Amino acid sequence: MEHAEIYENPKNHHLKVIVFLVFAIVLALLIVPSFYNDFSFTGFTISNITANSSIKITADLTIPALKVNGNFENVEINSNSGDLYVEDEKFRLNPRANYIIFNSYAGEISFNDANISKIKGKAIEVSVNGVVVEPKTKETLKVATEGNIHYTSLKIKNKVFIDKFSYISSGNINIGDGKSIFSLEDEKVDLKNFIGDLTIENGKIKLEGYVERLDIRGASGISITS
Amino acid sequence: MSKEVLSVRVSRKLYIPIYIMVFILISTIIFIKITGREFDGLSIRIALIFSVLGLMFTEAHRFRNVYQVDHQHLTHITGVLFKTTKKTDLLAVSDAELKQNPWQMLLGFGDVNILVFSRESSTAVKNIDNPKKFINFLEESIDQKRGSGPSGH
Repeated sequence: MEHAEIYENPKNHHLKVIVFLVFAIVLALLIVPSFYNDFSFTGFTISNITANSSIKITADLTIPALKVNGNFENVEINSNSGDLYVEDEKFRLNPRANYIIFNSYAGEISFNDANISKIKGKAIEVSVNGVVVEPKTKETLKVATEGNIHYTSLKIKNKVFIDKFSYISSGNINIGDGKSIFSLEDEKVDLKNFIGDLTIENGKIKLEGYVERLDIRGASGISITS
Repeated sequence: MSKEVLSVRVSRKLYIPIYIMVFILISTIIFIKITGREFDGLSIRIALIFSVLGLMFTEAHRFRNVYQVDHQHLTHITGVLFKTTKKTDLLAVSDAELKQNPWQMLLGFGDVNILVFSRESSTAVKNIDNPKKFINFLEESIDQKRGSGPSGH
């Protein structure tokens, strides 16, 4: 006397709940970073690392090729060639000197000792040679470069995070407000989890902030861990 | 649908909640792009994958079940790559029950439970469009077979 009735399979009900939960999570992933700018997955990561990066460092070194990515309070660039896009507006930088400022910049900056190879991000305010560009309808302005920008100085303030970089360098490294000073001559420097300010001018990179680990390999052979 | 053979699949109205979810996700992505807000590329990829998988799943689920009524049999074909065919002689059919919840009544689809005299099994025709028409066609086919078949009067 058995026959199949039309009934709601409990597995189907579970599947519906799972599909709805996945949908809700995906929607939250879309909405939260877009509508709440303070929320940042990378921001949490950096905060966690800050706790471990307790070695105070000031370094003047030769310039490596680096890519930094994050939210920076202020970026200042002195440049003498290249093209900069703010939203869809192209700024052709004049060949003498240009002073560019990004306030509240979020994005990527890649550079080497001579050129900024990539800027791609958003800023709340952009100033090019004193001409201030502010968003009209949106909260931020898209900022990007086309090709290389030749630069003479670059300052990135609060908070540059570099998870790891390693290169052969010359210069000075000051640890703990002058407690230890190392002078390098073509020695390999390994820095792990640097957080702080970055300034490039006069052919030198200046790092001011905190690191989790510092290794100098070569004549010195030093290793410092927080 | 021919007059001789009625072939039905699961109604797309069943998947309206999924379509609404996909619509909300795609609209959100378009809104974020148009307004130039910050977005996470990974989240957008996940949303697009969810949308594509959702649409593929609904179509695959729809194609999985086909119900056919002709003047001899009620046939239920299950599966996409590996098909299972179950045929029930119309002379064995004793009754057909229509079941609709409020959502199904609103959108005009429903479930039909087809019972056989032996009560050993039944065929559940779930979530089809115009279930009343399906039942009417089934009854006409049964009447026709009983009238003209070997056991007919």
